[in-house]
Amino acid sequence: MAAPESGDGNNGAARMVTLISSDNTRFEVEAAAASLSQTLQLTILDGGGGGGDGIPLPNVDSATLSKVLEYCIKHAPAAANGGAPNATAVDRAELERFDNEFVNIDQSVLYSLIMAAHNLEIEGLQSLVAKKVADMIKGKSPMEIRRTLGFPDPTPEEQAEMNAHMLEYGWAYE
Amino acid sequence: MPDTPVSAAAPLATALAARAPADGVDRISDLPDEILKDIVSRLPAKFAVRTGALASGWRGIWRSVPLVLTDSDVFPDPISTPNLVVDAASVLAAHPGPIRCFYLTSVTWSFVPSHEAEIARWLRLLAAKGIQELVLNNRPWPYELPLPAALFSCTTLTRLHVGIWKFPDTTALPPTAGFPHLRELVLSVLMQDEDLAFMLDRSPALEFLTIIASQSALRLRLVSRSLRFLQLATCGLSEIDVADAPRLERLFLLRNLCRKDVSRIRIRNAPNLHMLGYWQPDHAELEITDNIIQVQQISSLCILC
Repeated sequence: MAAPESGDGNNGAARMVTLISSDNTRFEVEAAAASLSQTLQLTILDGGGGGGDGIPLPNVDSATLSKVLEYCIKHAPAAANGGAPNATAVDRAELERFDNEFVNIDQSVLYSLIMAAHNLEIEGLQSLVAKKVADMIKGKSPMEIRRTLGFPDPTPEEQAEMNAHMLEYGWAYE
Repeated sequence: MPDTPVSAAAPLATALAARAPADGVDRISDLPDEILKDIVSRLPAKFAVRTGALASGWRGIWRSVPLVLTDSDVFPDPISTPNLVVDAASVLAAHPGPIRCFYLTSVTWSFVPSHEAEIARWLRLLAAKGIQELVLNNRPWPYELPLPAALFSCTTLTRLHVGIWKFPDTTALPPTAGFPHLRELVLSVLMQDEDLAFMLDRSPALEFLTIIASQSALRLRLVSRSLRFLQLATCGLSEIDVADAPRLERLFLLRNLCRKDVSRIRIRNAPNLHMLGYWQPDHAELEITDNIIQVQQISSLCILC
């Protein structure tokens, strides 16, 4: 799991690593936060990312990486406590509030986040963004879902298929 | 009632999300199937099915995720639309499975045409789909509606709650019948003492057992190598004999009704029992066989009256 806050340095400072986005921006972040990514955790455990090296992330642009790291920094202390079984209700409510606000974003940003969470294997973030999209779908008709998710207007063929689906799965439309 | 793993509530569907993307681009359909499946698996079954109508790339997704079925999916209005139960079963037969959870708590099954055959069909269907969690209540009435023995075909169950039924006669079942993976069992049914003994005997992984409002004068002889928590609520208790329950930690009796003046609780082999709850000295005799319960255990056994 993530390193404790005291880090492994003799001076008590937390260990830092550097991540490099696809557009060559460097982000310096605590190893504990970056280690929420299963992908990065292995590299970091191997001693990577320190000093002047940095870990290149060719699939993540700087805007997305900055957002991802905002999530990781917020969640790192709880993750370091092994999912925070001892966290107080206040702490949990605060994280939930943060999460709700965190995904209140434009869809273009949301989809970049989904892909980044997936590529970097950040379990909590993967779950959060999938929940977000699921919540956008709940309670809507297929046409409303299409509009919400930015599908173009259906072609006559697509419209006919939607109608056929409603007939075939009548109970799902009650 | 346990919480369902998915719910109809959509706390994250905020104003920004409700708005179509500003540039009118459908990015979501470009996501890998693995991510689309993750999204669809978080939807109540009804909306999972609807995603099949969105576009060609979505058509098969709902069939490839474990489904979670709840009342609102299957039976939104129990009085006016009983045929929906029948329709939904036909549709789900087309889903290759697994169906992870089926929580049906407010169906008045006696309103469903040919209900016994229909319930049996559901149970066989769920068994074929590898059902893990089943909550099946016949609300609000009547108690004597028979629960089909097809229940015993659901051998993949880990959690089972059944309420307001007449439990199947277990003496007629084959010797191999049982629930090898069942961890949690909640019973609120008409059943014989032998049926309860059968369930304990054939559920070798059972850890949590709750019996609510059993109508008979319950005599329970507890023999279980796995059970940790036993709770008996508003039961007509006659006798509880904790004969051999090496892992039992807690035994709770809540608002129990005695058919006789006094019911008896006998504790024999329960070396891990540390909490015995709500024993009413006026209503129940308590007998602890001291050659099995160790001295230090008696001192740590917390008896709540």
